[in-house]
Amino acid sequence: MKSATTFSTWPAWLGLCGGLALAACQYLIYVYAPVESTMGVVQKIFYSHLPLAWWALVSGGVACVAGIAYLRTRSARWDHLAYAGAELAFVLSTLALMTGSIWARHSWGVWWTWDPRLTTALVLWFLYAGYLVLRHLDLPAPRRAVLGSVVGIVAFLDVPLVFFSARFWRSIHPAVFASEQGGLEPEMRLAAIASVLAFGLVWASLLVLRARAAALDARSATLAARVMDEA
Amino acid sequence: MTWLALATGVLWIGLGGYLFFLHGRQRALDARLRRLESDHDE
Repeated sequence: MKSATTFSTWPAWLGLCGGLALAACQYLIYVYAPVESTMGVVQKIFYSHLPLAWWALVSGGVACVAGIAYLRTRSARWDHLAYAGAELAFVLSTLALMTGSIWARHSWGVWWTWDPRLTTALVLWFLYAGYLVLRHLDLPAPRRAVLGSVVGIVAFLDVPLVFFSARFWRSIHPAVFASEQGGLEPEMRLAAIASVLAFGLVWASLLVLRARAAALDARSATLAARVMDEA
Repeated sequence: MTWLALATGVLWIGLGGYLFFLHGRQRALDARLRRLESDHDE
């Protein structure tokens, strides 16, 4: 029987590369990119907030695509990937909301406002929180996987709303890369893109590691059932 | 500066906490699988 410890180590190395890249990005953020004239040094929260929000949305996309693939193929590996994507969407959106709230407190004077971008982001957080609750219901694994896939697909409907909300509705949240609002200076843009890409390496490693953990979880449940049957 | 430090702390503590959770979960799963595999083989 295949041992639990025969997975290759490339995701951990990818995560390490991501960590080193993030460390290098600190130079771009704190030295290369200029201090913003209106908000001052607090604006540099942006270089953390943007990658968290971006990869939270991408994680939701992974959960949706993997959910569709599971419903079509009923292959457990898609379910594990969907679960990993949804959990990462929850964790990263939590951190994005928290960093955004801290930035809002300084910039707008309030911790929270029912702005379209913030509201749709909070809805996203609740959707993935609900997904995680549903995945821990005491149901047979295949039924739980189908339920999770459906919820993951429905939850993704909010992702484009979050992304386009600052463009289409009157929002005080900046639409960062919208040229009509001025956008970013070139140095800031480079630091932002580098931060997003570096965080992407960390994100990819976390996604694979979490999917592997989900696969091990499923295997241990199967083995436990088999041991009980044989006892 | 305080707000920036707070946000940065939230980010790294949050990420670090999640990594710690993943690591702990991995170790628990490995131990459980080894135990189940040895029970199954017996």
